[in-house]
Amino acid sequence: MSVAGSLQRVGSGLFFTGFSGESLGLLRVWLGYTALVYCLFQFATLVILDPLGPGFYYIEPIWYFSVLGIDHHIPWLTPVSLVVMVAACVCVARGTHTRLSIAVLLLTILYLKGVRDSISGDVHHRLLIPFHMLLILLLSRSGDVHSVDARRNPARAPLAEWEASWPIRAMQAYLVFFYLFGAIAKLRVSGLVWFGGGRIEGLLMSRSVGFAHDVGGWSLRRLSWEMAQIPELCAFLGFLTLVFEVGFPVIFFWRSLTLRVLFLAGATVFHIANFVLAGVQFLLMPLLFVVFFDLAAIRDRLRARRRRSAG
Amino acid sequence: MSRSQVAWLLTFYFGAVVVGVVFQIDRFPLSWVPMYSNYKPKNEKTPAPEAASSTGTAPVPVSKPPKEHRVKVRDADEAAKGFFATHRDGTESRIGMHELNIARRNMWRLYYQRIFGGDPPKFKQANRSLDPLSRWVRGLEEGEPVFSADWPRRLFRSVNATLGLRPEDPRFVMRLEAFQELRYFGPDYELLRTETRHADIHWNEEWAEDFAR
Repeated sequence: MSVAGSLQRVGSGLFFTGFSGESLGLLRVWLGYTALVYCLFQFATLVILDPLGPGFYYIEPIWYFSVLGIDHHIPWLTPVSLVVMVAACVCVARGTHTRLSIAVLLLTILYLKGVRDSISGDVHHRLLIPFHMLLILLLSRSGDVHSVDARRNPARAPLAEWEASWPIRAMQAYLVFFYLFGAIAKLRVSGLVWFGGGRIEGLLMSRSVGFAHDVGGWSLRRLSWEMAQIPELCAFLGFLTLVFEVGFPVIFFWRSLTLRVLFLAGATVFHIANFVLAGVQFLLMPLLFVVFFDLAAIRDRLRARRRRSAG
Repeated sequence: MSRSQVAWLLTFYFGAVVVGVVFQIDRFPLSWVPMYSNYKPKNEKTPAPEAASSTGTAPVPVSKPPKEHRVKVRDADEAAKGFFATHRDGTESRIGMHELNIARRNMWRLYYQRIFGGDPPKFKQANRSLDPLSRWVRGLEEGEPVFSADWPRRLFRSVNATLGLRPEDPRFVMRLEAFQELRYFGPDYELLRTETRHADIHWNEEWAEDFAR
């Protein structure tokens, strides 16, 4: 048997099996509402801008703004984009004109992210995973199940297992890549020293005593302060970060539900602790971990349990 | 799409993601550095001049004295009020988030980072760590930065253009200032001292070409 043939078989097994159309449809519903919460959290800072106020001239336009020659903010367009974004999220979740809704949602994300990041020149990466997940949904037949589109056009052929599986497995693969590349980037930029504890200590100190005024929540910031003063703990947390990020891809291969739940619970604690103790803004990332579960199977299990308790 | 078309699509898609990582492309939605990765320890071991061997062997690394922890303090209210500005007619004002119609977080990045010459993480990460292959692909010379920006010039352009001011206007902003408190903690985390750093940038008339229409 040729190497190419073996690879093809392994790839097929990994990407084209395991999920039903129901799973994909339910995942689309989840991701639509998650995108709503996620994007509002990301772009909340733009809500307060005066739609009739001056348009800021960007200090470092994001690359696609540069290509398009967009060099300043158009204030009235931002609230309009936010409203369109919210409507698109709801349409994605409901499955109304699904492909068009996803495309519109991606465009509003690109625009609003461009506005937010071009003002001061920072390029944040928190929207990378949701963006890629939506892009994969756009290419899939996710709108053919659990959707208004499916009710309008019931004659469409049901999804085969491979059609339902590849988008979900591709999202899982991108998510695990994200964490792995996070570790690789730290090693490329800073080396192993990133994980030695000094970086964690700096984040904790900045979070605890880096504010001019007590902005509330001192009990939590005090915890950051106390933790920063224990170098062994910071080093351990740095090592844990390395293990966590490098080890993340194993979840792509784990079949055991218990192992996946345990690992992702740990990852959730990681993100919540990062947010609370160090002000790292990846708090909503765990909402995306749902891609690692078969939502149709979970739904069926919950229904069976309800029937048992009712009967 | 047929199954084989999907296989090709996935190959192309993940190929693009991997190419982005290999060639260190950071252009959303491609990124090689999805989280903040830049860290340089303050008390890094460095060879002291007296420790360098006279026989030509490698210098002996010597630790610096016990480290101080420097924390840059952010005053959200002060940053929101914004830059201390001096206009061409000699008057002074504050130019902040409301005048520029930008979000608080953007304002503090301008107030505490850009005016002090601080690059965004994207700049620092790429400038510090581009591999030889990625440098070759971009046609960069040895030591040439991937990203560079004249932040004072850009700030004057952004602030004045946003306020609708041109170089000949009496209200044209000629000088911008910002202040930031620095707190120094000792090895036992006791507060040793506080200092204030001061950014003071001035308009250069040669930059007037930025306002050419």
